[in-house]
Amino acid sequence: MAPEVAPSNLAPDRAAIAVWAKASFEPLGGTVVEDRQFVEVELPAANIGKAARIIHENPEIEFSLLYDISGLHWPDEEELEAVYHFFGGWHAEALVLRTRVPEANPVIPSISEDWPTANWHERETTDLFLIQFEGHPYPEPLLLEKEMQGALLKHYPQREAPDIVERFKARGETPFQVWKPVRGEIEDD
Amino acid sequence: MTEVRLPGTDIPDFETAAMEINMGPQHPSTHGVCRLEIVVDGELIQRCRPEIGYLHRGIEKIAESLSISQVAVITDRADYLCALNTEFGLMLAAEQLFDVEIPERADYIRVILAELNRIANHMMFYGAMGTDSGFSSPFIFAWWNREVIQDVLEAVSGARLLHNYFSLGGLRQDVPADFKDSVAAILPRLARGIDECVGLLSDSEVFRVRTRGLNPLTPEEAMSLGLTGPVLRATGIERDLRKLLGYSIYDKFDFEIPVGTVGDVYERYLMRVLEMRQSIRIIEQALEGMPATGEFVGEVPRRLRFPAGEVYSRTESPRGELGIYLVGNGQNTPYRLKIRAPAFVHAGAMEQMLVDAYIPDAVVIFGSVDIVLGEADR
Repeated sequence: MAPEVAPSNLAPDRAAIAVWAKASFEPLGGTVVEDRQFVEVELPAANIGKAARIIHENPEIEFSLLYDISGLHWPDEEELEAVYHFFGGWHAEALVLRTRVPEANPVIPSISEDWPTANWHERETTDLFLIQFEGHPYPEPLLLEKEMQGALLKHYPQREAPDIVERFKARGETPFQVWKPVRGEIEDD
Repeated sequence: MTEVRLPGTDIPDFETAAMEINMGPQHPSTHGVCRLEIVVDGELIQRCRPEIGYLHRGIEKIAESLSISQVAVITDRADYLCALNTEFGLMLAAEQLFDVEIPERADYIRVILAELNRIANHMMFYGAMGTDSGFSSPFIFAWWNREVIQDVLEAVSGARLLHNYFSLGGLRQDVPADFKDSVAAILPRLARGIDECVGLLSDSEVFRVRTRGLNPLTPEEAMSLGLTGPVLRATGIERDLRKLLGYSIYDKFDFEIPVGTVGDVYERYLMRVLEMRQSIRIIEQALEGMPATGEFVGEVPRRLRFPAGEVYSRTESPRGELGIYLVGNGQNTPYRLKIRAPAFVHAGAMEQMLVDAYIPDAVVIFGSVDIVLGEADR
């Protein structure tokens, strides 16, 4: 139940979050950015798991909701970015974690052990941006077929979507077994 | 493997082994195309793995080649049951990014239409919930009530399902002259319709026995699974973004947030019924406060280039909390549009929620979180 009178750490202001973020994430190599919509922390990829655990255990300021994990592609820098949005369950403030990884080796530690909801967000980001989440319990494609992965990368063709049926055929699989035999039999008669 | 013993004795009766069964994608109660890979021992679910992606249309990719007014057309297709609520979130994000002011009258019309769409969506949920738990008549009643709303939305936007009506800075066109009267005229009909709902399902002893105490959730579990909206409120957390953020003009209205206690299927259902009543309250107040004349769209620059920067908007969609992440880089198309769809998160939570439930309950639990697969897959 929601407490009737919110304790002070349940209604933090932006400045308090920035102070807390500096104290918590600067030892992990993080840079706190304050002049954006929310307080943001830019972190090296290897420390995302630790940072997410700190937020999960949230001793001072409560952020109970991992809203989403979005990918971003920066082709000029040859980098991929993952953006984690954390929101308070009891208050309206937010904390954003950002990390950039090189296109050549896009590996970020998975946080789905601490945050069960991250499981699907990470699978989706792998589908769309080819970012690999190390230690994910089930790193299988979620939205896209394996050959179509990386669809939101900027160089991925937009208008010429690959023919899924042809791709399945090339692999020796028949994806739509229900359709084909029926049609074939009727036409053969 | 479980050994089942004859009641009252030590004599083993039979042994059961884990078995994998497949539910969907064309199952009548999966609310779209979703497949559940379920491992059962007897009737008890040991493991569940939802598979989605059958309806993936690449909305986020296509949006990267469209202008803002065209993006609104395609995001309608994400959650087709409450298209206006998705448009609402998208436009709030875009207006913040473009720094566009909205006239007061457009704000009021937006709120009225969004709440009407919320009732239409909850009516759909109510009907589907009845069907999922074995009652067929609620669906027909829900359809009657929904039809009344659809008529108004059609008169306003010209479309019954994919309205494409909110635009940057306000609305695409003005509402018909009799808008106020026609909305006011259907409100008593809707209030009566909600009472009928209560009579048919909430008051039904069979439905209560079927759903009470089924799949209860604690607030901590719900939050760690990312559940939001009525499902989270059913666990006892008074969290509604319309109150918490007061976005658009929601802070002007007086309404209550229905809150549950144990978060079982019955309360998840009840939250929606109570929310429909609150929506009617909001609409009544909005009709009273709405200016009779005035602009319906603010001043929008002729050349719309997405400024470099990013905005994250959060709105309370009927299904849960909808997040729109919009990134611009100075082009006339967005650099990135990400839709944080509540249905996507809720479908993912099935993996944990269905464990230790019984097979016949799986359908009811799946229905109770109100998933539209179009939004989950995008």
